[in-house]
Amino acid sequence: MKLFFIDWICYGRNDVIDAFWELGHTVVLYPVEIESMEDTSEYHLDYIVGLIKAIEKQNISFVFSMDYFTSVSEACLSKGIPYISWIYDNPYSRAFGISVTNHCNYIFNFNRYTCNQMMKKGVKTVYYAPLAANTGRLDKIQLSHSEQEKYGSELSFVGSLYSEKEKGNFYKKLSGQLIQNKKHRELGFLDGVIEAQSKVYGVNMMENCLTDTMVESIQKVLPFQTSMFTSFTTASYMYAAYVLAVRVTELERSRILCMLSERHQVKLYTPGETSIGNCILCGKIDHYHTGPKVFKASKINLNITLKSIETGIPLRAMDIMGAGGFLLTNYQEDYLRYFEPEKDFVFYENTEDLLEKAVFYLRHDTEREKIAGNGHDKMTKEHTYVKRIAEMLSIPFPNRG
Amino acid sequence: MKLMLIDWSCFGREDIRDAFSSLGYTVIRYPVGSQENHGNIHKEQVEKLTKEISRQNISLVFSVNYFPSVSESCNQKGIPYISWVYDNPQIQMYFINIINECNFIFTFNYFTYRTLRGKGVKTIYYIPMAVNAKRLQALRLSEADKEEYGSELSFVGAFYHEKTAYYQKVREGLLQSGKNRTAGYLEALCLTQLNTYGALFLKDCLKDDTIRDILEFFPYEALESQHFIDVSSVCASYVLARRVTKLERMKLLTSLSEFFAVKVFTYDTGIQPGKCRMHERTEPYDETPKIFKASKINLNISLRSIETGIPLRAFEIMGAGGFLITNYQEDFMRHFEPGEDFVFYESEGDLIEKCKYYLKHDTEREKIARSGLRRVMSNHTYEIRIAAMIRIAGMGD
Repeated sequence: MKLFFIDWICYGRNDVIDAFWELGHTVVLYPVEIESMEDTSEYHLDYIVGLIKAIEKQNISFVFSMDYFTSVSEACLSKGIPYISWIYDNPYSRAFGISVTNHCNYIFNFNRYTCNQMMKKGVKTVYYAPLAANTGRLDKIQLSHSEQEKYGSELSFVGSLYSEKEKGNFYKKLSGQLIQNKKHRELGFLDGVIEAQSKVYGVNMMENCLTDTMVESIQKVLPFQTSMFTSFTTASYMYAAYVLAVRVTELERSRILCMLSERHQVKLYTPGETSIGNCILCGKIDHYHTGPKVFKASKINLNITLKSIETGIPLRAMDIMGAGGFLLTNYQEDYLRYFEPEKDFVFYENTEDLLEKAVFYLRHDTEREKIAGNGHDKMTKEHTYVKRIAEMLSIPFPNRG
Repeated sequence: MKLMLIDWSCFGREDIRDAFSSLGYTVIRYPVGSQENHGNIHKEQVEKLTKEISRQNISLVFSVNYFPSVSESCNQKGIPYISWVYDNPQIQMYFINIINECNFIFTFNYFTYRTLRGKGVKTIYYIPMAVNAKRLQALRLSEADKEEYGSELSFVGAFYHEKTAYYQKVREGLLQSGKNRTAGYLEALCLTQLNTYGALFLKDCLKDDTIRDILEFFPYEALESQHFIDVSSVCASYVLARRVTKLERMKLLTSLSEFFAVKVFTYDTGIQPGKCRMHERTEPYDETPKIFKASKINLNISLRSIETGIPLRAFEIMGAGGFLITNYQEDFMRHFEPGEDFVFYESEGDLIEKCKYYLKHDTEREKIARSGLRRVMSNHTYEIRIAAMIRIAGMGD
């Protein structure tokens, strides 16, 4: 079949495109509707018309994108062809618009919790699909002696600390606004929820704790307007996910990394310049080429999931296991659907537990390497892009393949 | 042998005396009024008590809750001092002199035991509460009693509404002095803790500047001499945990009253959770047990500052032969079988479901109540407890 791949600087871009080719499809790249991801999710009429014409002209059977775009869905709806989207971002506000119910849609989300929430609201176009890794490509990446030296470490963490993102950091924006408007009680309240959430693992209480009066008050300084583009969500969810969760993650990541770096060698791959304890700052890296080298060379690869992801396995974890690295992660419910703890990966329950497990697995090379090997085998068998894409295609096209 | 019983209006007063008597002790009462005046070492109190111990030739002193002055007297006289602490936290039991060699301090809260042992305090022991089930079994319900005390569901307990509502005072003080940010912070902590079961984080969320603000309006004068407790624990327990408990009891009882006939017995006036029928608090010795006997389901919602312990209320419910449904407290698992001797709930929804179920299934409910009663009669009597404490204090045979 011939498909449009909506092209933007998304995660897994090359691997997904390769998987389609490998499955015998013809991939045609089509530009994304928007200039930047900051753009709000409204319809772009010109774009829709352009896409409809292109679909006709090139005789396209279906459209695929990483994450979900309203205009693409409208074009597919009008042409009566399937639109397959795979959401790996969370929170992702575009996936809550009214257009998600378009019957052309096959929206796969890596976060089981979001799927359940949408299904409860009667949305029938949402499916669960965990993320994947291209183990074939990753296996071919070899480290030279000097790379082994460069990327080797007792522990490593690849990811944002959020503190560096002045512009996208809604907590900083909101707290500034609250102070300006003399809403100190509201700011204290948010800090209280953030602090409490940072002490509790395995339960997400942020959304429930934002009372109506609190949300109303925040609305006045940092408005979030509900509209047809946000039909399937609430203001309290949006504030919890975009403001509070990011702040909790910022605090949690820096606390954990500080603590670990007091006792161990920790290499930190992050865009910011701020020093975190004794961590060795290694800057931002390219996820496609360099990420796998870090995962292969580090004894322990940490995953500290963004707090808004209620149950899902983040891409980082898949990348680590796919590269054959040893994964030490916080608990996320979805792991247990596919992976066995202490066999394919290891999870920690709180910071003390994390410290103990880090010490244990640094001391026990055989156990650590065995777990990394098991995780990699399971990825190769069950979680390649080829396998996942084939599974996705089998829903709109049950009689093919 | 002569035992001095520090006498105040505590729980189990008569039951404890009876237990000592039946173990062959001559019990001398030593009235102290209320425990509030005994938060510190008072020289006159120590001297008076020391004289009395000599005069009466006392070989052992016992009190419910811990009295620092009593410990001083016993230490001087070189006789054992057994205290059985049932308030949590009881601020006096963190006093510097708890390490006195004469002390045998028994807490019903395993968490407290673990924490103090962790700080090197060797005089602390764990022992759960008890109940005189035999006495409670002898109480008979008249038809009028059944009418008065009976209902589908009952709850006996406090709402920390007026006298002990420290949170309200602190909040008002903060708002009046422009410390709105701290007020909002505390509000959020209470709400998040209310919505979270199985994790206690109030204390860990109190940082120095927050504590400083709280203490402006919650002056705890004796804090400096309480060496074994952090100020953050005191603030978390007295100011926040009580608030959370109040909110929780209100919330659960309100929703339960939508489904069931609920009677609430409390000292607090001026509160009305949903459609509950409100009654004045009953006399604990021989009236409250009638509630437990007459109600189909007896509810226990523990005070949130009790980390693991089994509250006295739970023992009294089981001892009266009542059916107990309770929040989860770790210590239950040390002594009872869930689903066999009692039932615990994990959330509001779970509580409602379980109440529905056990109101429909009389046989199962009665079986569990009987099993709970058997268990407390054979393992949790005052005689068993007092004998164990005496043994640990080295006074047994």
